[in-house]
Amino acid sequence: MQVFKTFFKIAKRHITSAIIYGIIFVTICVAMTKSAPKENEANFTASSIRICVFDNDNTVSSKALIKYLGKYHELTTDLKDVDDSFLQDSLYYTKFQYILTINKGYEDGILNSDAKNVVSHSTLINNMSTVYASQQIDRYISAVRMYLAGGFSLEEALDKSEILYDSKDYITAEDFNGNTKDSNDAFYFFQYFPYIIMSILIMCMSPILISYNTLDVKRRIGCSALKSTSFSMQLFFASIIYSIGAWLVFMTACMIIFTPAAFFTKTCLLAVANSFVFLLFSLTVTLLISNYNLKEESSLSMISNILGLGMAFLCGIFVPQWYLGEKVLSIARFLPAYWYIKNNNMLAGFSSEAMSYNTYFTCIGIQLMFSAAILVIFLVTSRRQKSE
Amino acid sequence: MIHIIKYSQKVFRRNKNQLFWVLMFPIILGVLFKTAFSGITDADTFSTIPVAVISDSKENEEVLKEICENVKINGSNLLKADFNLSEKEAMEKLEANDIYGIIYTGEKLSLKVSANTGDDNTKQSILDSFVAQYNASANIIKEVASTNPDKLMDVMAVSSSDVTYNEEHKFVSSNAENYTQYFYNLLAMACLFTALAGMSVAINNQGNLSDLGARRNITSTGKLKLIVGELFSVLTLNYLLIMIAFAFIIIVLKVDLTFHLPYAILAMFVATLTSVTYGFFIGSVPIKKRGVKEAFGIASIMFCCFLSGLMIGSMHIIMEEISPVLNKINPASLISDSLYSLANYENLGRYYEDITILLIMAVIFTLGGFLLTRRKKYASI
Amino acid sequence: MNTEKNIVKIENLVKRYKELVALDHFNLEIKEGEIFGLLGPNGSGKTTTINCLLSLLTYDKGNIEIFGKEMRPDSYDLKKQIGVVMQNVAVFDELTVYENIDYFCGLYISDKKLRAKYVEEAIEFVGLDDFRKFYPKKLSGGLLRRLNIACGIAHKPKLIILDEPTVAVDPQSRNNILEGIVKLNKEGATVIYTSHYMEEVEQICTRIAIMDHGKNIALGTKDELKQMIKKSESIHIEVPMLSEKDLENIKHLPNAYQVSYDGNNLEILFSSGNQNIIIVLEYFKQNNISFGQVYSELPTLNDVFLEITGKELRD
Repeated sequence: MQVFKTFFKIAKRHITSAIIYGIIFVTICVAMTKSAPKENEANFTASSIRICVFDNDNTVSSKALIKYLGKYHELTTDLKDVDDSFLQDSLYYTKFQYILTINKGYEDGILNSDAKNVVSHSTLINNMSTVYASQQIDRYISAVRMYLAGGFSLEEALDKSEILYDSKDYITAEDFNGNTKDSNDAFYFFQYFPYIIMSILIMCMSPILISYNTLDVKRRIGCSALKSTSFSMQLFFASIIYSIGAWLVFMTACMIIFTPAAFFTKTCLLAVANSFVFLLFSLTVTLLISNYNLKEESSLSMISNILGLGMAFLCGIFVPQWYLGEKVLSIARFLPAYWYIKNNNMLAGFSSEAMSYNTYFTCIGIQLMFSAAILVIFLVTSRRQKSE
Repeated sequence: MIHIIKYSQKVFRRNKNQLFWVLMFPIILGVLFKTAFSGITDADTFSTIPVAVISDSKENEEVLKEICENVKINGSNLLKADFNLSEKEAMEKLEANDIYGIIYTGEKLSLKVSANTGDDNTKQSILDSFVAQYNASANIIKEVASTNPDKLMDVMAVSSSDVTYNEEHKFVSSNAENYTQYFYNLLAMACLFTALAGMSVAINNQGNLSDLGARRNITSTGKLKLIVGELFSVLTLNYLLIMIAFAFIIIVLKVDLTFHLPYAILAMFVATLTSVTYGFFIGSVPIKKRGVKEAFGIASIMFCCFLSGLMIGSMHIIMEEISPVLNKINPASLISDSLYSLANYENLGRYYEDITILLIMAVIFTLGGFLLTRRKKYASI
Repeated sequence: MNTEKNIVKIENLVKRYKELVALDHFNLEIKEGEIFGLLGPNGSGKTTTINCLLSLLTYDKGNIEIFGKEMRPDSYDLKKQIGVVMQNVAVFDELTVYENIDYFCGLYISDKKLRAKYVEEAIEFVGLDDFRKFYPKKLSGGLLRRLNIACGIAHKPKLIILDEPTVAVDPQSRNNILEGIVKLNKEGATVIYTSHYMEEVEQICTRIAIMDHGKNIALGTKDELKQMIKKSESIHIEVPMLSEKDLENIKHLPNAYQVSYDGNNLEILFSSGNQNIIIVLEYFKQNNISFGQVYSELPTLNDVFLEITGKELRD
């Protein structure tokens, strides 16, 4: 048990660094969770987007348009005297997804035959949500004009058009699996967890493991009566204990932030189990990295970021999986974080995937297989290095 | 001085491990980013929506067919309708997400979508909008037919007229593609990591932190000279690596960072300068454990990059709302913002502002570091 | 001796590390041309003295002068004339033997031609000619120490400070190093040499200070030091079956002050003279006592240390 005990003695010497990383990563994790771009959470509602409106016409008609849009979207109408660069930045950083300008002469335009370009809009790119918003505006203006053409007064036309689209009785949402979404913010926490735990294990645990790896120590251990497999296994178990410690810190933080009531729900506990399985993977990766003698902490931090960020972007941690291209996803299938996120999305109801234990345990199984594979590589390479 | 630079260049150049990662960090992550984002623009831009249509009569089917062929967004069809499915087949496809909705013809169109759509239900929303408009037009026509039948032709004319009410207005100089900002932040992080090289300059010149530091403290060459020489070497060497990575990102990954290229190159230099001096400053802070200094350095870099939007892209604008000042003193934000403003504005005012703040920070870090290390005796070695 | 000028003068130096008093009113004067030995067990304050002297460490009390001037962290004119070989090897792993020496020499001497000459001389001096292109990692412990020394002395300083330069060095390299130090001294350098190996200090140093617990407990040439103690010779004789009477007689031989016998080995300590063995053997011959191995030992610095502190120099 000597190797096992020594591990924690060394860990104690690195405690200040571990605390610094711990604080930073918990902070980042919480900040991410709080600022996660949350989409609408109800069962089925048309996408609501952030629209900035400039009303240059300031007439009954233009106000009616704003009122109509306000029923569906989050509007910002009080911006004045802003320059293009501000708007551009806002679109770029998705503060607004859509900027609508009601041109001067809007009312005249719809009253007369020439209604061409009575409003204008800017978006960063034409995606589904912005196309949808444009459509809504189009169909409203079209309705107003149809009522006007049909001989109704402006007021009547505006009123009728406004309520025209209120009725939703033509649409039904078929629920295929009876799952009601658990709109639990804790799942955002779990969404970012792989990046966080991987970074923290690599940054905090590798230095401990690497100190076993310096040539002199390695030779000395090699000369001792300790079997090399026994050595590797002791190291493995010590790092499991260490990782579980780190994991518990994050789970406790999660429980405190999102209240125990939200934490101890069935789906949330499934997510906790999912995170534990991913922890095992991060742990084996850390063991493997530590096999290579990286002296500088700076190299370690860069490697941890390459793995952490790379995995996070490829597997849909920072950008949702459904935004990623098919090719990317097919690459991501070779990374356990993909399966982790697939599970989390399913549990949280972020994705369209129906909750199924079959899928859940398949994803868990695949993650475990990755861990096992890497553990085998670790055991093999650590033995081979010894015989060199 | 030349002697010091010459030899420190040699020392740093032969420290292959560190150099390797300074260079490979932005390159590998750049490739991964590029891969990850390669599909996004397609997925996020508009594409035709597959639906199934269950018709009650041939007549209604024909009307809808015609409409489906005519409704276009940005030149492509809005809907790809399959009229030949049985209700059961359609439901199966809906459950499997092969289609996004089932449209039933009749007196009014009705729509069935899946409730299990997750966060992404934009396609369903568009279907909703389509059906709503169809029904609304039908409604209006019916209403007018009963009140003002003579105006019916006018209404039909408006309904089928092909007028664009809503013109698209593009910002003139906008070259922004949503995901390039991740590359700005990646470059910012790569620059910031050179702080660790700056930190080792400070540590290797401090008598109480390393044997070499002690050894050099007792030579007749002043500490200032040694430090300036070595910082210069670290800066030039790391800048060279950053520029290679920068070139790789532009040329091989074809990430468009070439607007005002000379300015971008200058920005990278200032970024490296600020980073190296930041590391030097932290290295000079009188904490004895090297590991703690490094941990603090790395953790602070990670945090700065997080706040500037490396992980969650909108973080920068969120910070702009919470505390604009933080964005103006966060080196990661300043670096990525300087690249961003080069790509997006003809006017370089904001770029100069960013660069100036970075330079001021570099001066503060350098002076601070010198004040902490000069003429120093140590309490213990 | 007092006519020679002081190179180093340390007065009343006190240095504390929290509770531990590392230097306790320590005084020292070193004259030009000396090889001054600073002898003491591990932890006695030798390295602390050196580090204070070099203005690396803060100290609580006292005065330090080198070449008659106060030593400060920015006394570059003084530092120029000092060469230091630190206890820990401080060289760049990334530079070759030649480059390391050139680098450190270059921190003192900017004239390139002169420096090239000095570096060559230093390489020759420590005998690393065959290894000039080697990186430090490839050098054995002894060679690494030699490199460390070359880096310290290449600029031909007037005062050379060597802090335990022979720790963990093979005997061959050790002799090479010691000879070199004497040679440097002959060429005009004043040397301060710290060690806990008394043989080395005895072998080369002209004057020696013995330190313990941060204090200077004895100072002088090695002969002066040895005269400070009672013992001047010890004689060991292998002699079985010595009678009580003979033992008593031996105790009363002139100058003998302590006799011990374990039934086989006899040890006699004499307080003066160094030819006492003749008297002892004379006595044995007269009384027909047969004996085996005989040898005589003159006092060592260890004996000096033992007598003053009551403990062995080596731990």
